[in-house]
Amino acid sequence: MNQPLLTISDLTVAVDGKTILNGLNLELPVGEVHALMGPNGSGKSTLAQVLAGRSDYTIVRGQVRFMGRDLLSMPAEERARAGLFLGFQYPVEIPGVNNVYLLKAALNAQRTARGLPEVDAFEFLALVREKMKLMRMDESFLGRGVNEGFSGGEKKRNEILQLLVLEPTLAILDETDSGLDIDALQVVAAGIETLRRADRTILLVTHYQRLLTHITPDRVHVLADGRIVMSGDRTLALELEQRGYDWVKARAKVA
Amino acid sequence: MSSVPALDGLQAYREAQQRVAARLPGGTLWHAVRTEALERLLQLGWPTARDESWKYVPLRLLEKRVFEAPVPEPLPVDASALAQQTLNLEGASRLVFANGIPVPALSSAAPPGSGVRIAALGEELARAPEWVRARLPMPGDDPDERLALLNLAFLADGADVRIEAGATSAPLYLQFVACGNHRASHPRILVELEAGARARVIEQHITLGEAETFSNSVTDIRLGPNAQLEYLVVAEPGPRSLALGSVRAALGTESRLLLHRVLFTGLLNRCSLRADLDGRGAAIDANALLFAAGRGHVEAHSVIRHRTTDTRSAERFRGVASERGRGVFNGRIVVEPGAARSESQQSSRSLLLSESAEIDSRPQLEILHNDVKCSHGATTGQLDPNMLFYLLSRGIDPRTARALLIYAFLDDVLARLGHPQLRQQLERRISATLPDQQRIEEFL
Repeated sequence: MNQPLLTISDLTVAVDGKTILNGLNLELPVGEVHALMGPNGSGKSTLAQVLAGRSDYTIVRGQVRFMGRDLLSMPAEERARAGLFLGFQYPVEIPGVNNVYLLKAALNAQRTARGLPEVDAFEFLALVREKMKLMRMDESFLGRGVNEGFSGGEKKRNEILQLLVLEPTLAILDETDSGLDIDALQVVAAGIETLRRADRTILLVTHYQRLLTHITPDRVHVLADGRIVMSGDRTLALELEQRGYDWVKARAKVA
Repeated sequence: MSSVPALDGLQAYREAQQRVAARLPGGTLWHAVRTEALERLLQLGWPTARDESWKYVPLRLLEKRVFEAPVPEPLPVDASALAQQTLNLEGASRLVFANGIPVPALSSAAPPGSGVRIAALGEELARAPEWVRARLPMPGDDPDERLALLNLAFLADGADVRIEAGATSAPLYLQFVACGNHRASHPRILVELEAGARARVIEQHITLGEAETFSNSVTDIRLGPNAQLEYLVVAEPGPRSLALGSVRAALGTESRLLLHRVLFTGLLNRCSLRADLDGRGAAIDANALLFAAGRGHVEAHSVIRHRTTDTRSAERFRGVASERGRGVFNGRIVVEPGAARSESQQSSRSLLLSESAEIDSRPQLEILHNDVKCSHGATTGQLDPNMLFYLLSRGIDPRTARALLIYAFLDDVLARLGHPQLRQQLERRISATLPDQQRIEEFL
């Protein structure tokens, strides 16, 4: 196995006094694609949000190392600049903040943090246009507010567009496949697939295995009751699809 | 020249008026009009906290301030200080008024187009007192008209603008400068568009330097059939001054008024609007942006009356209060009996940027006719934590993220300004007054 990029140890997280993640351990090696699956309410989205730095959660105990750093002590914007990207399950609409400006500001924040010069405006636009083409996004997108009036599918494409432009070291994609029709799913999956590289790690958080027919994961983990109850190769996803999550829960209890 | 209390002990105004009476234009007729207006004001008294639209006004604050009676001669204006606060509008005709009195040296010579007539009200008062009298009726008993009474009681000068039928005016920039410490001014603005005329007018009220000033302006807008006017009121009294403004508009058949009010923070900045949709098919878009910072108190009031059929109004209020700023929005829409097929929309959104900030928003709909479409909505809150987190998760620092969201909150109203150059300059002014807005200059 490759060097770990992200190591989660004994992570226990609560919201309003209720424990959501309970002693979770997970290691994501450099250059691999992992899938995190689990029934609704198992804590998948909580994990994604906690890793991205959302502050409404209480970290009860545990540790997360990201590229050798203590991730939980870093504010959200610093995590993003260090190369962590969260693709939101429900991307928020921000009317009045232009899509392209946000994207440019995000890219420049990252570049500045790494000691690189700000991106040239002309080159930036060319880059965005190229990635938009890949995501089959309409030109009108350039002038619109962030996710403003976007359909569910357009919002997800926009998340992947940001991912393609920002080229993070670790991409956590929370239910990116939900709400997509078959054509959009293929576009999104193809977009993610282009990012697959030896120096990039991707965590696909998903309820169903259908995204995994387009993107083959190196490992599959099952989250239930706030911790990883089972890990395996890609065939685990197929087995889950056939047997359902009750099977995993039952097995977890036995184990 | 002695000092008089501004708003308490209204009696002091009688003395103040007598002191300047002989120097004001309009002869014995106008001496009588001013006296009548003042006596009426003294009889009715100043509004109190019991009057709905004066409920939140810190009257005590007013009573502590002392302002000198307005005089008909302009004070010298510091041109470089003025330049800093001047909007740069290409192709616009600019008229500068110091404490309500025209300053020809700082104003454009040429009118903004053929069919556009601009006169100084002071000259008209001297030349044709009766004619002016006929155009400025005595205000009624409504508490909201007390300011108009005070304005009339000290009427010295102002701007009288008429756009002839079918004519189109280049932008007209009326700049009212309050200067000299403890000075009062009562500017009067008349804007009349005849049938089918079109114009864009900017009315700006500013205070120069650190002066403590009191400005009480009254604006009368009349739109003839099919006239189209975009009217912008920008009031920036600053932390030590008071700006009170009354805008009244009468809209004729199929006329359209796009009105923006941008009220910056001040010791007190209060702007009231009364719009009467008198003609069939008349339409008003009334946008108001309010910024209350420091210990500032800013109020936007409006009463829009649908008086006949097929009239349309859309009112949008956006208020931002920071530090210990206090804002008030009081918006009343009345659909009178017989105003069939009228449409009215009102939205009020307030953003509070600190624990001590406060905005009171009172949208009111009075529908006295059945066949109408009306909607309104009001929200007050802080920045949306989901939006904030989304921006942070993209690497934007928290201060810039907050600034972006404040700007975004205002954007749907700012976007309605029809003049890009003007919009850009207002955005920069807004940037300068809100926390961390300088961080998003590149976005503007």
